[in-house]
Amino acid sequence: MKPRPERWEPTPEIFDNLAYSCGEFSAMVRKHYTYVCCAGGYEPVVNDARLEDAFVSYQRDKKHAPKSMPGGGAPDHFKLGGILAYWLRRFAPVYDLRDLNMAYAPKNPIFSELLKKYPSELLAFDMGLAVCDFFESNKIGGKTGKPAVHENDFDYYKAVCCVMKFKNMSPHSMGMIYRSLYVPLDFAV
Amino acid sequence: MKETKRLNKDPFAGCVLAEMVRRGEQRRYSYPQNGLPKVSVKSAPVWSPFAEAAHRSQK
Repeated sequence: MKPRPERWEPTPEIFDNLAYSCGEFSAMVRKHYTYVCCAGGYEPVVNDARLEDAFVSYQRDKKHAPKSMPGGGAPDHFKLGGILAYWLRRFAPVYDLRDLNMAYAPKNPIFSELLKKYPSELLAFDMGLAVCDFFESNKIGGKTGKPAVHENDFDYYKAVCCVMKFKNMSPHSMGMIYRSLYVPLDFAV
Repeated sequence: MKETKRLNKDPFAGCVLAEMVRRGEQRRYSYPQNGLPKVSVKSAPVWSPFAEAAHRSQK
């Protein structure tokens, strides 16, 4: 029996590490994808060439991000997370799922169905959200909190994945989705 | 005659943006890009809705 997948630990240098080597990028994505997929009872089958394409495109967009918006400045975690999710979705490195036959735990049937329909979209969205959450949850000063979406909000994930798969999305729109999920709601009366 | 008078009149009189262009003022656009926030930890277990579900399913 295979060992259980380990939980990946992001660091503050995550976006620098992503720019450092393709090997680190691939290892990080593989680790997160494998970990998340086991909740659905699957193991992802990942194509290295597509991961490398996603890595190169991510690097290029990250390099041009400061100039791509009026006013310049350095891109924040939402924007970089959006770029990351966009290219991971676009190159779709997960091309198959291997059934674990409940090797670790019973799978969540709704999540499994969603994963079978939209593996690349769901995992790319989750990866981008994970890196955004690392900075939002641990930032010094300012309000921190969890995103306004729960793992059981399957209608939300279905909508996001369907739009990511069939409609035009950009790295900027992905970044805006992540930013919107962290808008504090305590202004409501 | 009435029509000529109307055409001779500045159609943008009283328009704020047209007045700005006339004065040579420029609108400065900027998107808030302040870089990555400083964080209080060196590393932390990854959290995302589905990573959390995976974590619970392994318990």
